[in-house]
Amino acid sequence: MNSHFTIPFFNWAVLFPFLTMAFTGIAGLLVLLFKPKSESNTIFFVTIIGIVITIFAQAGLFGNEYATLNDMITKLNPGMIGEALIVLSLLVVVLLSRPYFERTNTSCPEFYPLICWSALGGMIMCSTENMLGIFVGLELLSISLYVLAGSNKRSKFSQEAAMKYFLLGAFATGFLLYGIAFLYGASGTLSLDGFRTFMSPAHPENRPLFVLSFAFLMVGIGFKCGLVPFHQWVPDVYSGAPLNVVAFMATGAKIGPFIALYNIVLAAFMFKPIAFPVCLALSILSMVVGNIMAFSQRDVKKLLAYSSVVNAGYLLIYLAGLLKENGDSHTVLGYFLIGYVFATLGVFVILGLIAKDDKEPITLNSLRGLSKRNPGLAALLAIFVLSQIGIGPVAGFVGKLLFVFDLVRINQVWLAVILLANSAFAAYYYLKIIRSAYTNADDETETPYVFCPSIKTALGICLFGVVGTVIFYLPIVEFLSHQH
Amino acid sequence: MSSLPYVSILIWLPLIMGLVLALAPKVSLQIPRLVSLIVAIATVVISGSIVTQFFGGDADFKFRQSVDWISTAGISYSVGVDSMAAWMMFLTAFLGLVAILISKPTEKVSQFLGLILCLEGTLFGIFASLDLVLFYIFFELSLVPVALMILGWGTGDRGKVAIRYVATLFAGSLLMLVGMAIIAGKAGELTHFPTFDILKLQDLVANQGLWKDSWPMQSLAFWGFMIAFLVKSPVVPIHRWLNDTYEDAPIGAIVSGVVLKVGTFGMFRLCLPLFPDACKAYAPIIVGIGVIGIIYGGILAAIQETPARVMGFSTISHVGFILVGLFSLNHYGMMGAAFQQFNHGIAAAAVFVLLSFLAERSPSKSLKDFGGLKKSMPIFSTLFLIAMLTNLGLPFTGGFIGEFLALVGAFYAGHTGANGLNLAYVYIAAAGAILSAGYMLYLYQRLFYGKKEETANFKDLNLKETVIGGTFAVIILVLGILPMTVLRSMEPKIETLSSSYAMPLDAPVIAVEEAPAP
Repeated sequence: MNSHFTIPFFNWAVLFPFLTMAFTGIAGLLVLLFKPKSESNTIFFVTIIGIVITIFAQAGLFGNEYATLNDMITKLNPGMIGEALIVLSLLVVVLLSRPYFERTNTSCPEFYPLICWSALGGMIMCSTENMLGIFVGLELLSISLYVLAGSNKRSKFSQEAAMKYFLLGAFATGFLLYGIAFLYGASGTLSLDGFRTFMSPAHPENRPLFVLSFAFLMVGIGFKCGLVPFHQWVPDVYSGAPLNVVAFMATGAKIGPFIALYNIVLAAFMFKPIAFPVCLALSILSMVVGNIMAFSQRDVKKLLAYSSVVNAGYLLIYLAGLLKENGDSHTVLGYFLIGYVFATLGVFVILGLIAKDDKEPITLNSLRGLSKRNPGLAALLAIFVLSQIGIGPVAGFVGKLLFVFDLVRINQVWLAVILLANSAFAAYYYLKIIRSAYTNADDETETPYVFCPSIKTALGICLFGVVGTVIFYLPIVEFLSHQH
Repeated sequence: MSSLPYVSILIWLPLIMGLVLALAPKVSLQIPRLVSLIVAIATVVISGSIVTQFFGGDADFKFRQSVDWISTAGISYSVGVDSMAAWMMFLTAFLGLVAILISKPTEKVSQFLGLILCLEGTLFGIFASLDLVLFYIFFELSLVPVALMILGWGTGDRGKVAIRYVATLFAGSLLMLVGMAIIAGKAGELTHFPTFDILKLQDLVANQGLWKDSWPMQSLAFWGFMIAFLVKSPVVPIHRWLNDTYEDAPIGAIVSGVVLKVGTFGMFRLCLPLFPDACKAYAPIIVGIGVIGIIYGGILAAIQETPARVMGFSTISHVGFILVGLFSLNHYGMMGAAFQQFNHGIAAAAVFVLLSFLAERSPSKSLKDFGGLKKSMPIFSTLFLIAMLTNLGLPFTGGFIGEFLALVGAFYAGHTGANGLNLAYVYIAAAGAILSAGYMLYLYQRLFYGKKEETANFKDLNLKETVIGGTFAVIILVLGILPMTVLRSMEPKIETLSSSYAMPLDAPVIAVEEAPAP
């Protein structure tokens, strides 16, 4: 007798990075269970080891594409780069967290397992085209972050951020689920392929369902990506949540939604007369509103929050262009993500060094005097910010160049012009960060920065991500496309 | 000589040493000075020996080096030097050395000298790049050291000036990315592989009809590049950043001497060969912008209250001449523009260097506080006179040769009506040349004549200052009396450029050797 449910084929090698990530979190919890009173050293090292194993497991997968678990897990190229970036940004965030906890006298050992699971959620989002998979990943990612946003129990801003994030996030999840339901109703499948295969001209009556589904999916994912007009939570949560959590929120936690956005928008290829203007409007709104709001910010965390909104806009305008014609999206997307993630992380690592405690916001003024106290640190900050602007041989520049190059190649010059006009505007407020760092402080009280090895490693990873990936472009692309 | 990658050494030696110095921990004051001096002298020697390779006159690129880089998008690390680039690099190296010699930062000496070296390196990179993306990277990167110097050592509202400097120039150059993408994409359509290699693109444009049937695209790409270069040059509506930078940058000499020349150099290197149709079609507009700059700059220079601002507007006026010559699109005009581009680097830098000597004697910036210097500082006033005369274009100084040739070129173009130009442009431009005499002499009068108690006991230049100022004076006179060294080495290059813009038939053909005999 035939069973209706066949046990799918498990390709354990493909699933290995997920498992190591999940077990890293569990191991962290076990450490907490057996040594509850210990300083967070043990759990820190356990987490680091787990992450490093995951990085190697992930690196071993490059050069091929995989599908397993009945195509629930599909590891394709942009998603795999995304996964690697998530793990790397997780590593940097963990590295910056321990000294940050020490300096601000907060202790939060449950931070480590939670952030690992959050990263796991992002990794799942990157490696599936099934809406159920995206949903599971997104929830794992978000719920961990809801808790983490409130992890500074002494700060009421942190509590407020967690509450806001949770309520709005749950609401957005509702939209996403609704969109998934419509997709299933119209096509009978949960895979994004449903858009492609079942949007046939033979069944025009299904069309409205697909459009509704697309609209709801865009709301749900747009919220997580921080696209305007679903961006309201971004500045509040960024400024309230602890700095190390925000560092992950702005980078690693963005990649999963970005890749999902990429998959959803490209799946909507069949009804681009509707999808294109929607994407265009969302992206232009994100860039313009983000830029305007960032313009007068004095709080660096909020400034970076709006900068992440603007960057989501950059991504979406490129995706809108892809709706018109196929481009070479893999390398382009990869370099955009590399540039965004490492430059942002780098700034956060430096902010973590500067932050005195977790109560006062870090304003532009608190960056003053950095160049005098530590020229090297100021130079690093300048490099990271210049990468965001797109000046010099940095990943941010290459990402932008490839965006423009690809958009022009698919005859969407005007989209490239819109993108560049916005990045010209954005340069102004990024430059303010550099200006503050290179302006002398009013009071010359020098609090020495504590450069522990973990901070040095974190800065090194970020610097390599921003500059090294550009200089060693050929070896890296070779590595990514070569089968191991 | 071509066994070592000299050009790469020239780019990376100052860049890396500059970074090292800028990030070095505090050591004694002498070591950074010594190191930067050695590096600067090394660059002068290397760039000088590169220049000598072009004395015979050679239109080709030498010292070429090409390494695959972002190969999937057709980007390579590709450098090389032609005669014009060689002269500009020599100018950069020379002014860099002078800047290091005369600068006396009161604090953070090591960082300051390091930034000068970094700036030098990025400028070498601009002049030597043979790949559009590489060019663009250095073009943008050269903003950073200047901005950091303004932030750290400038006067006045440093933060605002530095941000305005970077933001304006960055915004201006962004459309260049679109232009680059368009031309590389066109090359990709033609050869099935996109490329940013400037020489390959030149070949495709000249011989394989890259722009066939795509006028709007060419036009768009042309303006993408042109706006970037016009903002950098600068031209009239977008010149505001210049004066602030002049006043506040502690190294006005190198900014005015080389950084601005990147704009017109870019037109020579990229716009003329890559967009021939657009250059012809828009020549009247660009020449018009140049003429407006000549007049506007000339008038405003006369009414400024600080010497730095006089020089700022004077620069706008001189850049106008370069534009007029360049977009006459004939041999003489281009020769004049190329020569003036080099010469103005010396001329403006000479004034700035001398002004910096004056600044050491008096903190005041305003012309009102000066006067009567002729009596107290005779050597200074003589050297200043020579620097001033080349700025106003007196025969026997370099300024005359460049502006005269540019006007001759414009006259031929206007006379034959080539590319929609007419003589009205030339008449106005020539009239503008008189303005420069006006504001320069007025500046001289306000500085050196009259009587002022405060300036009576100023010390005259010491030996070091005299040597530096004297070197400039000698160069100015040599350029004016024996311009052929520079002209002849540049000529073959200009010839290949201008021959693609066919000379009008009825223009009298005079060999360049006979034209500028002063």
